[in-house]
Amino acid sequence: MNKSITKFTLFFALLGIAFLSSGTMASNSVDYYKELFRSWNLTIDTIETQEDTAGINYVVEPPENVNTIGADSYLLLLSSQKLSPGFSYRNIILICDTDDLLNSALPAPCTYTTLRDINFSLLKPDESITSNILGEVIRPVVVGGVTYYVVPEILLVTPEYRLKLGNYFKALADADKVTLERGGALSKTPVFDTVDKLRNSSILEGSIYAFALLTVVLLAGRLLVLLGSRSRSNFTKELFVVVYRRPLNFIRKNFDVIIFIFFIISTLYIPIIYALGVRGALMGDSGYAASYILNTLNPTNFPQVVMSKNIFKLGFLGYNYILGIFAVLVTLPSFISIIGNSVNKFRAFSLKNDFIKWAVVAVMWVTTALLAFVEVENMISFLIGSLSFLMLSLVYMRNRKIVLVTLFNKKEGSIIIASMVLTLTLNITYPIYLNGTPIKYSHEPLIGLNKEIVLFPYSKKWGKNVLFRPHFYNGISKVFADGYLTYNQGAQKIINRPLSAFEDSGNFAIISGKIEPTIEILLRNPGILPLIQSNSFSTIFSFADFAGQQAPRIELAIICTANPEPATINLEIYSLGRDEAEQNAIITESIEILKFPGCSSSDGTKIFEVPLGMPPLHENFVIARVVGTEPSIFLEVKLVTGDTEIPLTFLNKDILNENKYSILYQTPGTAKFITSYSADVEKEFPIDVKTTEEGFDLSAPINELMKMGVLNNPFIIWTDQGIEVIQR
Amino acid sequence: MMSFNALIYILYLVFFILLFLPIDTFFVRVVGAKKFSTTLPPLLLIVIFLLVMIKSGIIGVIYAALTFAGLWAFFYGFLSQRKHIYILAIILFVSCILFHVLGINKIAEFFATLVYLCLALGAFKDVFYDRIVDE
Repeated sequence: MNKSITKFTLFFALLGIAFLSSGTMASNSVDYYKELFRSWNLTIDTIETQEDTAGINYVVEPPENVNTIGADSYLLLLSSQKLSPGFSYRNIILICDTDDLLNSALPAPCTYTTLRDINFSLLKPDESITSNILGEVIRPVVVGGVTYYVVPEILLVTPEYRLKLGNYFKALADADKVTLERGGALSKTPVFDTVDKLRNSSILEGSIYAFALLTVVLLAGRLLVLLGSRSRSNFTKELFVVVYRRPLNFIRKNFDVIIFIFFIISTLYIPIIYALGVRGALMGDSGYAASYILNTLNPTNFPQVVMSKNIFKLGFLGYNYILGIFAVLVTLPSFISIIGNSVNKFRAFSLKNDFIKWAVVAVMWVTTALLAFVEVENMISFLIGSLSFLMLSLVYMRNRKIVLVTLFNKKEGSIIIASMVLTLTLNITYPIYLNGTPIKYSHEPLIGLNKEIVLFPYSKKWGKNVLFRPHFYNGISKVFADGYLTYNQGAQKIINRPLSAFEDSGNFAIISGKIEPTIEILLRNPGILPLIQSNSFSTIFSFADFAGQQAPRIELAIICTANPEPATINLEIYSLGRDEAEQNAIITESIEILKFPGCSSSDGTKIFEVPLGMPPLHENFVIARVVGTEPSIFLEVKLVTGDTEIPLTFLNKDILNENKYSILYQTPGTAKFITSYSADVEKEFPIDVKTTEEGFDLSAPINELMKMGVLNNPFIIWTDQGIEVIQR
Repeated sequence: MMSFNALIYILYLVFFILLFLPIDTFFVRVVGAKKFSTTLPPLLLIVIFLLVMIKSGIIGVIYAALTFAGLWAFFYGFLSQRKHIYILAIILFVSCILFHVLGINKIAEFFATLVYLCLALGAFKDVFYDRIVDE
């Protein structure tokens, strides 16, 4: 007994571990390229290797099809895998992902950018001659009976190269099929020959359609007969029988079987929860089982679950769908009988006339009176409730042949008409009164949290027509509300101005705002650029026109320590229109520069050098930013033409962070007058800084901004010192 | 801002006129047809309903479905035997204690709310049934 309990526990512990190890598939570059080549219709295998002490890799996990290697399956290898000699496969696609030319396993001299003497980083991918050169890649190299397709990685990460290469490999897949078909034809027996003829015949095609029609007729035959019937008397009843009774009768007839299957399926939940519990225990997460079940069954997560390629998750989801179907089948007869029962009750009962007449009047009166004071958007649920009640009342009165107007005597009728006139008066006069009177603000604390300690930055959510009670500040920081400077110690006057009105004079600060308006202003007013440039690397930069020079390349150094996921990386280029028609327009062009295959922490830093299909620039200088993944994964970005590196002026990376306000530049020292510029400021807003013994009332300028309606909801109160206590 | 309110109000007012004034007499004189008093009010309600749907989007459709389900559940409960409502309250109350003892407090709280709703429905039925329903 004990033994079997131990075995039982061990089984589910192993099941739990299987869950653990089944996570999502590793997103390393081999897996990424495997999927890519598979999308080009090739049958691809991969192997897992491990490096031994001599630096030679040996196979840890053999390919899936190692025993059934056919002419149409390919092994995908990276040159960095450095396979030991002796390992063979009939077709190998070798991706050169290093610059090591001395690798003995290479059947042809190949690096990340070169194959034989061709350097793909120096070619223009969109030129027609490039297509011819790409043809060289697809020409295989046969060494010792093994056919190698050698591909420099640059061809897979550069979008245009990849598109063209994909066409070649798709053609290769088609060619394989042709070879197989031809090879198969030679060995075909007369029986197979007949099958082939039949498969391609129009008779078979016609038969499939006929069979499909027959199936439809079998399933919906009675319904078709019914719809074709001229008799209207039987129509409703028969339709009811076909559509409703027959499936229900089937369920009722087989109810015992259904409930037995439901019971068996539902008991499977016990081992599943046990296994999830084991996994949770191993992970130290007691709520793991619940979160796993909820995450998997959440309909919004459906695409992720399906795409996760996790067999357990998919199986669990499928199992739950089956369980759900059986649960519906088990409860359906009872549910339908409840509905039928309720319909019978509703038909049988009779409301008192006094109730129905006053209920209808009350609902109408309350609804029409509320319409005078509350906007429709804020009373949707009430309106729908009111409409539903009135509709049901109409149905009830129609069935009972009640004419509402006859239920009231003259006195009651006069009262109702008077009450409706009252609502009419309210609906006419109240909006007029509202327009003529100043807005009545309610007051609430600026820091509304009932907590002992509250820190800047603070997010304040506000309701309609709200102002804030005084909140005094005694610190030394600059305090902002969204993009507006509200307090600066020592300053007597603060002026908030739009960044477009920038003047390089006096004491000032430049605050970050929304990215695209900021870039637009920087293009129109290049004088700001030197103030917000950065000495360190950032993914937003400006550069001068380099038209007429050799084919440009872009070099991206990516930090792999955070295991970045595969992504499509774009370069967004912003420039001002050159000719008169476009003079005031900002032209944005997005160029796909890299199909990043992902990398793992063991790769350290990976450098991708790809040709840059640069559009003609519209202005002497442009601003560009690298988008498509987290900016933090980039260590460096370089633009190169020939052997010359194009100088890039990196801009303050805080421009790119729309989720956080920051000071992009401020003049040193303090002054009595300070100007704050931001792209978020649309209208000049001056503040006289008056400090009392209690400190500076932050609510005063914020209330003015609230009245102007320029603050976001919620708005952020923040300081230049980062975290700071505002309520203790 | 209030123009949509005005539109809805006017439609409600027309609905009131159709429902409370003898319009059939008027229409028989003008167009020689009856039955306007039974066809126009529901049509008007449907128009108001569609306008509210347009204003509220998909959430309005969900609200409408939930309102109908809620009204159905309330009336079904209201017309059920009072004993059944109270027995259901006791069953839910026992389940609530059970879940509380098992430490599944969220479900216990949910069941407690159901107990409260059953008791409230029972009390409502006890007080108002005779005044509302004509037996």
